[in-house]
Amino acid sequence: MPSTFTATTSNANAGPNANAGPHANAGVLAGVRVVEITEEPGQYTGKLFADLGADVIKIEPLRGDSARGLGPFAHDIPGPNRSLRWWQFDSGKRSLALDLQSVDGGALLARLIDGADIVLCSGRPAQLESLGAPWRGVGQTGGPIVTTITPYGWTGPKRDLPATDLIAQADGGILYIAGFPGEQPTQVGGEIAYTHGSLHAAVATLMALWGRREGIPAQHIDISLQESVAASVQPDINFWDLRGEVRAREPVSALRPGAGVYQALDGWVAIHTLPWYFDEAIAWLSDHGMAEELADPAWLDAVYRVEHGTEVNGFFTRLCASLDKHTIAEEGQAHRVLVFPVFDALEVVSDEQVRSRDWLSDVEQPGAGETAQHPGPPFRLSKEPWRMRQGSPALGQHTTEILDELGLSAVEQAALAGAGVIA
Amino acid sequence: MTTSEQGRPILTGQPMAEADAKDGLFAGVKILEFSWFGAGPIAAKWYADLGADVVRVESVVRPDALRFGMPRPVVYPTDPNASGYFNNFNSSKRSITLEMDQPEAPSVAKRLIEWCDVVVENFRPTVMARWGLDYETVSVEHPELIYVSMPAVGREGPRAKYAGFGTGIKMISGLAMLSGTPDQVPIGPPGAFPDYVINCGHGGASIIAALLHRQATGQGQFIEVAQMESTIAVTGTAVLDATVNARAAERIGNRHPVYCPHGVFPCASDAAGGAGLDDDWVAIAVTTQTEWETLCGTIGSDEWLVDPRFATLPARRHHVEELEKGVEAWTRRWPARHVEEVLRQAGVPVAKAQTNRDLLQEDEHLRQRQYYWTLDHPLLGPTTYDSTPFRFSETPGWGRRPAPLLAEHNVEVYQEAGFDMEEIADLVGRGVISG
Repeated sequence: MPSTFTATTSNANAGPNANAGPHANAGVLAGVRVVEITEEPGQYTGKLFADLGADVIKIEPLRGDSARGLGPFAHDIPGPNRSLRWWQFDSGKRSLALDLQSVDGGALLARLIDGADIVLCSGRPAQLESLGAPWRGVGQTGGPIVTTITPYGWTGPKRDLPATDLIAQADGGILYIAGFPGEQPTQVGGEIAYTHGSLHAAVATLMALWGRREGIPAQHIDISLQESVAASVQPDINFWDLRGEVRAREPVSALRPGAGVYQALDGWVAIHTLPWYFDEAIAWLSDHGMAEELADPAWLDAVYRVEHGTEVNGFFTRLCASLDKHTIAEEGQAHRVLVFPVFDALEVVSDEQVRSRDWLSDVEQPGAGETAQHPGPPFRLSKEPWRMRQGSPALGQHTTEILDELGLSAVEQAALAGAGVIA
Repeated sequence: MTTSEQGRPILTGQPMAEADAKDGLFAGVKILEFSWFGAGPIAAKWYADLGADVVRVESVVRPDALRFGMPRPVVYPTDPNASGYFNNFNSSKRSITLEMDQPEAPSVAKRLIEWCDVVVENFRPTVMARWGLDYETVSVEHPELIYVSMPAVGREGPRAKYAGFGTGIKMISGLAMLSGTPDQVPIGPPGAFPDYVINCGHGGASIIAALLHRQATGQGQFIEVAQMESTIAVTGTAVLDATVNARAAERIGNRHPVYCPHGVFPCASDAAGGAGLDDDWVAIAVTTQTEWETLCGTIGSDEWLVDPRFATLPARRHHVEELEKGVEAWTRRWPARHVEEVLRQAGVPVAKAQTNRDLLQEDEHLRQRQYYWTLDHPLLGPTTYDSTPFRFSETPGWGRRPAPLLAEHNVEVYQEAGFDMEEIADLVGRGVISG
């Protein structure tokens, strides 16, 4: 099997298929090799790259990546290949089990990185600095791009502090404004700090890859989870800047009258009336027996509506109380009112919009012997589209294959396994 | 460091002269934005701050509603150039106007599209086609064009006509049902949350993926970013839990499926450093047994280490309410900054729930990293912008110019796009563009 990594470094400015190796996939990132050394933040970056065709080598400690131990598990049966987190974020990657703390492990990492286009790391800066190898090519033409996702970024007084998703949400400013006034602030679910950091990392890394092919030296991309969260409080920053106002948690209806979350017969709907189409909202409410109350043209005046916000919200509360959320959404949207049903995940995966667009993606998860329906494309490229290629790897599933590609003999590999460096 | 008239420090980004001197990563790439509100403009802003020439195509008759949105200085209640909401999303861009209801407008738009590399639009699915500006039509003569549509829920499907912002997308995507507790109304994350990172993130990623494809093949393409799909894609394990386990994940408030204690705790009022609203909170996340032992030692609760209710993680999870009350009894005694400092020194993951004021005025770390840029706006003076949320070692982004005034660059952009002064005057005379 030919070694691919030397070709990659010397052809850094060639097209994406110039160094297609044995694991080349179709896709815009075909031929791009990614070495991933991440904790939870950054897992989505590597997955996105794999779904765009990159060869993503996930380096796992010999005991396995921590995500393997985190629930929920498939059918609630724990097991290293049954974590839904592992399925969700690590599908399409190849697993190399390698002890990075050992001398031989460090040497192997250096060889892997010499052949990589992108090195993706998360953790704390000191921990990542101690890996050494990733930084050798930064600033050099054709060297690998190194993207670090750290709690507070690579510089600054907080750089060495630990932070989980919740802590990043607190320090990034989203926590304080999330939830209800008079109650404790509520974190945004779905580990959104990790997601935001991963997404920013994906965009920036691909930008740097584009630049690298234009001849720009390999870059270090510095992602701070705190800043990736701060990016989601944008208008609030300007409230302080332009008005000197501290923004607190808002009651549901504070946005404007006729905007909020209302109880329907079968759950909740989110309604957002646009002031300039409020006449249509009145027509809608009038269809439901409120014509008399809304006959006064004063309701067309936005200022009047703000002054009578409780009454406006009362109209929508009454409307929703007698209808199911699908009907409310269909009727509201037909009247230019921005209405959306509030869905939980079960409703999401059975929704006709999702189903009719064939969005969910079936992937075989060999570790559990079943095919699972995963989230589908986050965007649809018409050329070389996003596609899930395979399920999530077992621990060390590709160790031999990858070391073969690196040119290590069977004898060398056996020695490394015997010394506890690989598995 | 300089200070504003109010004594507020001005967090200067890069001096404009130096910024202008750098070409930037995307120098020479031209992006035309028919998008408005949040998701499209933020994605394009990143490219603008990195050197792309990004032009907003606006309307004087129907400007981007964000131009009239809050926040704005009290003295400018209606000026379309005074919205901080709009301005923040549009640093480094240029603004032109084109009144699309005028008969000549679509052909003018077509010439602009021929001039650019990337089109971003987030109107309802039928709008661009009505003007003859859909991808199928405009790509015939411009096959290198990258064309990004960002509809709310998709161009096809039973809900295709739905219009909405992040405020609705967070609801239909399942994201809102991951926040709060089962007894709370599912308001989800604040405001138009998915616009600010998730949907502009996937939009921004799709643009660079297409640029990579074009770099290798010379070919453009059409891209659809259905904001509903983009948001569902990042709801953690929620989709797999539904498809594999037939379960909608329980809403767990500020707790964590594994770590304990993991929560948000009230602190003593702090007139000096707090929000001044008697509303100060810290988040604490204990992720290891060592951190647990450190927490107990630091807050003077060593007896918890041998208390059978709290000694092990399973026990703590079982007695979580009593444990949280115990932690709260301590945090309530101190200002949030004190709690934060003490636990940080000890090595326990902690942070004050920072306010917008904290981010801009108190956070020395963000200040040193120059996360916020101050750009000198012609109407508002030095005002704050979010920077690019990623740092490049070789090709850093800079706020090249403040957000454009409505129609500020009509003459120069139309000229660069190949319109001569006579044509421009004619279009102004007909009310197709503003003078």
